[in-house]
Amino acid sequence: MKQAKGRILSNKEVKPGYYLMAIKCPPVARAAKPGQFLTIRCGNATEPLLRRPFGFHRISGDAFYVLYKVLGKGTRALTSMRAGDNIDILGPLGNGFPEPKGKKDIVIVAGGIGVAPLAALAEELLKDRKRDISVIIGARDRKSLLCREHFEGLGIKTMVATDDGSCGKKCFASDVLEELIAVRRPFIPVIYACGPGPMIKAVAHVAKKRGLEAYGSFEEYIACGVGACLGCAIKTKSGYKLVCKDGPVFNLKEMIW
Amino acid sequence: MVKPDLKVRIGALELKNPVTMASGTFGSSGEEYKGLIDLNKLGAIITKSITLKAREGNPPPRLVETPSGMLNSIGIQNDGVDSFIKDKLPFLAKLRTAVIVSIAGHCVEDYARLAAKLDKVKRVDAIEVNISCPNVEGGLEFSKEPGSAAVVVEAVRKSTGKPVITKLSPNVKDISEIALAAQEAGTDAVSLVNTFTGMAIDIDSRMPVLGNIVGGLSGPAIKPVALRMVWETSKKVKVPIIGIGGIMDYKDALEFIIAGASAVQVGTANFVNPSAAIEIIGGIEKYMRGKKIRKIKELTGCLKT
Repeated sequence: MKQAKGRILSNKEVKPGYYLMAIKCPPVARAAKPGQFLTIRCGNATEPLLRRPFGFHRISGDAFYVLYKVLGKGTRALTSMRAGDNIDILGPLGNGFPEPKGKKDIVIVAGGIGVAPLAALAEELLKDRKRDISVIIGARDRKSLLCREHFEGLGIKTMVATDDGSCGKKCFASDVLEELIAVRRPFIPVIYACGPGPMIKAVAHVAKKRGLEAYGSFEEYIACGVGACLGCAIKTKSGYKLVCKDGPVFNLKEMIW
Repeated sequence: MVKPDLKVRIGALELKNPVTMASGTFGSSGEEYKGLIDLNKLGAIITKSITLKAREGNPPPRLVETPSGMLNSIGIQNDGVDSFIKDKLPFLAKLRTAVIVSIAGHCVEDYARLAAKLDKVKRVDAIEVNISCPNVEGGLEFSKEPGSAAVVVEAVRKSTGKPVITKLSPNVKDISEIALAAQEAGTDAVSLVNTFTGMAIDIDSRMPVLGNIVGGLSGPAIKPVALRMVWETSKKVKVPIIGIGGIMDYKDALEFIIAGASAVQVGTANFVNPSAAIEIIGGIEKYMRGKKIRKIKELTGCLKT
């Protein structure tokens, strides 16, 4: 974990309201693992005040990408940053996705901007060519569907679900997961999920029903990012855990909904 | 010019500089920050408040950002005093900075027992008595009236020979009256201010944002009010004051010192910039060189009015 200056290599809008920022920051990039996160100080003013957390979208040598949705003051401030600007980075923080020990089949379930850290995970998992990876991306509509081409470009089977049916199936990502598991038998994949709370909950439900190993990446408001302030607690079967230090990835069977 | 003298005294305790880490913002021992900053450069680490028995803390969400500030309702989550001594002190024992342990209780007896336990622990340099946590049932009660504050301070004073610092709440009619009562009851110093009780509401769900409904406001938003309280208190009490409230950089820290604080605590700034305290120490030193001030003590309470 380091606090370091990063240099912005690029920062562009990839879809209306969604930006992709490339940052060169060797000490952080070299140590980062998929599923870990970083925090960025979005300006030098007292507004926005706290650093904002982001997953590593892609990790490559001395640099990494952050894929973000413009949601509030912090992310809005980020959109005005340009290539060449310096940026205050703290990371890598938290724990990454655990390895799918010995398991060949993997299903990645993404919802909305939750797809961001799952791209890095897919790239890492692909290093073992024997793995069979499927990705399910859920989004509100076609306009907010992210990363489909990226996963397809990696040669990964990619299924899409949208709330309004404007792309892929008109259903939730968790419905596609349920169907996939029902159709392909025997199929005992490890599931990795990141997205809105209700989606992760639905994924946990499917995993429990089928007795599958499943991990989800969680979000909370983060202040320190290092486990000092105890602000990002979430309830688990073994008491409160910190999203920043114990997570952000948790085994879904540990969670209380 | 010789190196400026940043040393300050809090009762019998000497700090190498006036910049300390506020309780609750720097973990139970500061270990979380060991790879990020040189902990040995700090004036002191004030640990997360501990209670006699472990506390689970409040339901999430526990924090939310507000304009130039943040609300928290952690609820003094901690593993209890015994586990603190066993698991956290060994790390603190290795540091070359002052260790101030913050204690919180539900009744006077709790405070007395905590102080008595810590009195036997060599590495504890001082005790900060948190009578001002807005996030615990009854947590604010002792700091509301001069009489009740005095009772807690007296009980702690009788239980330990270590320097005692009393942390005061700004959620009172006249904080200087409480400070005066703490002084008469034997505190070696007062630290002010703790957070201001506040809240935030989600207008879509019409629910409070915090799981605990209300929380404590900290950060730059509270600085002018905290500064005024330090100034008013400094006119009334003789014991050293440790100023707290939205200190983000060395200029903020100097404002508190000029207003009458002998030392300061950095809290919310640790979240924004883990290096804030180290930068503040450097900034104060540079300011002193520039103004040819030899001792930081010369600055305390030098406000011209």
